[in-house]
Amino acid sequence: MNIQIIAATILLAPVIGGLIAGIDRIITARMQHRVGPPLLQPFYDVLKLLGKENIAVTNDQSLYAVLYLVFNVITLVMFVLQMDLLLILFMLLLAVASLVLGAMSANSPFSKIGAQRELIAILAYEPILISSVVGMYFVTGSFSISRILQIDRMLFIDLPLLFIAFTYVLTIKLRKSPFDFSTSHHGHQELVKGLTIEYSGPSLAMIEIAHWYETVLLLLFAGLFFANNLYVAVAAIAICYFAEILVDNIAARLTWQIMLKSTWIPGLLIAVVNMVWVYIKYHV
Amino acid sequence: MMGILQTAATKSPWIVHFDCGSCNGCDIEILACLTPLYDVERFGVLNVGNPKHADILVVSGTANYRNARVLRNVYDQMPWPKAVVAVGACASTGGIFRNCYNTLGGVDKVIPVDVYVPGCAAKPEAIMEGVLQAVQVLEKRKETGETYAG
Amino acid sequence: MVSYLLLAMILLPMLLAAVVLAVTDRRFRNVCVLMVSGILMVSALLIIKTGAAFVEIHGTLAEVLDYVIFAADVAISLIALYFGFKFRSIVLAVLSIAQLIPLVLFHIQINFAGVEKAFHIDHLSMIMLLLVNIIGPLIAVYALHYMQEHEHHQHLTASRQHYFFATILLFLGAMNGLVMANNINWIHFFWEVTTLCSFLLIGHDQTEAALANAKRALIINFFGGVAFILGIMFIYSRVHTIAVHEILTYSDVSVLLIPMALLVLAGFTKSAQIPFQSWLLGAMVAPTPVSALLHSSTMVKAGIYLIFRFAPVFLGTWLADMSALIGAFTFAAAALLAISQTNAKRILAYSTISNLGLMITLICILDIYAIYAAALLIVLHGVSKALLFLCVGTIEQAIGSRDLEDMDGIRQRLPLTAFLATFGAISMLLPPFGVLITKWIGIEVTASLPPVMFLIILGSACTVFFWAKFIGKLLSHNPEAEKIETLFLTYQGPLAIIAVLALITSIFMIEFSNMFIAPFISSAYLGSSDQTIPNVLISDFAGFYPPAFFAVTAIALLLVFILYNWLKPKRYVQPFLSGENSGHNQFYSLSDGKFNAGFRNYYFSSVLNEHKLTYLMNSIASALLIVLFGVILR
Ligand code: SF4
Repeated sequence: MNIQIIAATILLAPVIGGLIAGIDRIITARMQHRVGPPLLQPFYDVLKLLGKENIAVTNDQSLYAVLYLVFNVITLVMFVLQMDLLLILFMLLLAVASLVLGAMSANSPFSKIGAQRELIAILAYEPILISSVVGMYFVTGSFSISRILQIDRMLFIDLPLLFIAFTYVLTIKLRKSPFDFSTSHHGHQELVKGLTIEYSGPSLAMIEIAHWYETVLLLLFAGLFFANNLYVAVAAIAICYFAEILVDNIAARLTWQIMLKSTWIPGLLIAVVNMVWVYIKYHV
Repeated sequence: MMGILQTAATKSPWIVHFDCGSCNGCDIEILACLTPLYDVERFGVLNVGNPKHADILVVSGTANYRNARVLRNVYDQMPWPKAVVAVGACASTGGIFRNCYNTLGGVDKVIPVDVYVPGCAAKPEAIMEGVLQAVQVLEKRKETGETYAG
Repeated sequence: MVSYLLLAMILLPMLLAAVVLAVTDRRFRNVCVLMVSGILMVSALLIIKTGAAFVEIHGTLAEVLDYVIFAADVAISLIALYFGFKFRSIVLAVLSIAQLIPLVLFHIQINFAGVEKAFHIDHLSMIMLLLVNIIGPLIAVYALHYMQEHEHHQHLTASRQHYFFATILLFLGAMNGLVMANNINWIHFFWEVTTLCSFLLIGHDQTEAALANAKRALIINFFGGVAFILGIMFIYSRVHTIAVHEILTYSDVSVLLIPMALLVLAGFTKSAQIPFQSWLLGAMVAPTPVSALLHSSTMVKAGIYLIFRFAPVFLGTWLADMSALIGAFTFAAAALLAISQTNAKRILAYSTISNLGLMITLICILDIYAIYAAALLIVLHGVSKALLFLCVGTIEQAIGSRDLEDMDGIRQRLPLTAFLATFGAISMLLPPFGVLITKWIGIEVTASLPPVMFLIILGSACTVFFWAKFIGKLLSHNPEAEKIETLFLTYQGPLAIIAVLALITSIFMIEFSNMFIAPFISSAYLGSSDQTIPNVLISDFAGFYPPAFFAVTAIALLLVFILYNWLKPKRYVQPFLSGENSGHNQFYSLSDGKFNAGFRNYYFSSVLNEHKLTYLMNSIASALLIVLFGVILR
């Protein structure tokens, strides 16, 4: 049973993630009054990359790309197996860490700047991610997803502010504008793709696929706030992601100072307010 | 499997644009291809701005003594299979800068060029046509397994 | 049998210290150090095999020992007084007198009485013994070669190594005494000996900076010593005993709250909690083996040990909650400050302070998991940090700098050392290694104290930042760097052994817990009540089982290697510099000169101004301390 779930996750997640990326690109194009690429474009891209030559600056750089993929897969599997949320966040950290280390190991200024900026991004979103998990703990009394799913309340009703904070850092985590400064998207070329600049061909494909897994994981995470009702959850995820695309298109790049300040001061503040009230509600 | 990889290769040409010292006329036309009017992303084309991610090198402007080395570097840093499109009269032959004291002529003096797009400035339609022809070149390279050697 | 082992572990190193000091021959010294190292390791293992026990000392011997130790303790205060005059430091002079007078008065009050059960070896002592007697000797052996090179760089006319090794041996003996003594006066004595050793070793190089920092360390630790002796006097006035095991049986907390607060304060100074952290940072001027041995893996744990030892008395009180808060504050603040550092040793020092804070938090939380995590962290941190310090020391000797920014391409220059350092740093940061697990437990158990939990969350985010920078630098690639590593058995050997130990402790965390921590909890916390604790307790944690976790990671890594072989780069190119490359990471500038494309890590020196932030953090922490005492002295 577990094996089947694991296999299904590993096989299905990239398909879903890729489709989401395809829809993302079409919607983005429509918002810009363009026709946009075909829905399957992300798959074409990745397949093309897989068939290309793998050139690199150092010999172990591709290793980190693979690590990034493997850890993302493991994290998603852990999520689907309904394990401990804190543990899942730590595994997610491991995944990002391997990407950062890969960028640092290639001794290239652009990728190093990307790595530093990604680290700042971690610094910005990690407290909020952990706070959301802790908020869920205050409501449900457990860090494990299987127990959180047994609660028949909608977590969102208890944790609305945390959900807002979470969607805010989701933009950072998905590396979307205005916070796309560690791997700039096409169009924004001042960092020529930052973190991933020194990757090419198959190793770049690994990173792309890993990003699909990551997207699925984060959206599932967002769905956890609405877990007791499947339809609401799916609708919430859809709205959430649409909002991300919208923001991605209408926002100009911000500086990392603004990101750090906005997540640490108002972001953490509303997270804390929310945590305090659920704590009082359920524990005092 | 190889078949899928090949079709995929034709559907996602990523380009890197290098300006060798054009008058900017061609550059503007190249960027015009990305605008809603032409929307080159319909064909999966992305302007990635980074040779290591790119399949097609789009060059505008004349090669000269200063930029030849840079052009060569950018070309070398692209993974195989790759193709080069020379956009505009300058890039193709040297254009109005031909025989100037500091120029070498068309970019084919420095790197192998696959598609020449004429015009001064080249029209966006022509540029898109050139890129799509380069895609055919890419496909053939992929099929024959021809590697870069030089 | 046990008493002989005690002799071997406490007295023998101290005696040999005197011999090493007297006989300056290098080969003789090396033999001595190696011999003591072997003896310490074997005796520690033997003592652990014997199990928990009291060791009684009777009759004249006991009396003589009490007098000797009292005399030695007085002597230490006098030495401090002497240095107070020598450095013209009024503070130090006042502190040493403030220590001397209560010490003498107290001994007169108790009429130089001793404790029959002079030593108590329980499972907490065993954990500390493992750390001191396995990591300690390895570092000492490492120092044999290190000091040789160190003096070579210093161009001394006469070697001062005999001072160095004598102090190290003295320290090892004192540390063993500290963790086994049952007479609280003796603990105080050994505590002061470690302070003195630390002072001597920080000042070992005799440079201006070394002496200034040594002075600061002495002042702050003497402040702790004064708090300690006052705490002892208070305890005696309340419960009329100086035997630790008897003090621990007092169930009425309110009686002992003030002395406990004083002892906790002493622990804070020794464990360099904010606002007392400055001495530990200054201590980084000492030769690196000293930083590894005293200032990260063992001596600073003495403070932790003291708090841990007495925690059962005051757990669940205001004192415990406040201490947990101060610990958590230190955890977060030190991690934040570590981000702004470029000096590798200072980064490690801040990380040490931060981890000590986490330990204190875990100790002060009334939860079995927290106790588990605290005891585990003591060991895991000790091993990993010792490894890291030694690696940085090796790198520093080889490249002549301890600045992180100079370590580009260290992977090519010193492959083995860089690998071990990376391993050490990873074991401090990433799963499946144990340190992260303790942080995880830290977050899970502090759900009852939200502010503490909040600080731990912030702290862990900062921790990721500075460790990732550290590891990234160690891994960064520079094809032009040449290999300059020279291998010595006694140099890289200890490093490799410590690395293996770090791996083993992480894998066998649960076995370790069942062997040492579970018995400790049932004897110290559950006491007479017949409550039992579950054996494999971590099974509660989402089925977390380290060997399985490591196995999964190993399989994942195997998979990665297979994939990687398929992915292996076919062609190497230069990094992207907008096509301007004129070499690897080198470009032509406008004036046609060749320039290196350098990139420094971000240190946020404008936002994270160390000086200003330290001031701020110190004020906050002092305020917390004052609140703590204000409420307790009510
Ligand atoms: S071809 Fe004409 S428009 Fe294009 S760069 Fe040359 S001069 Fe300018």
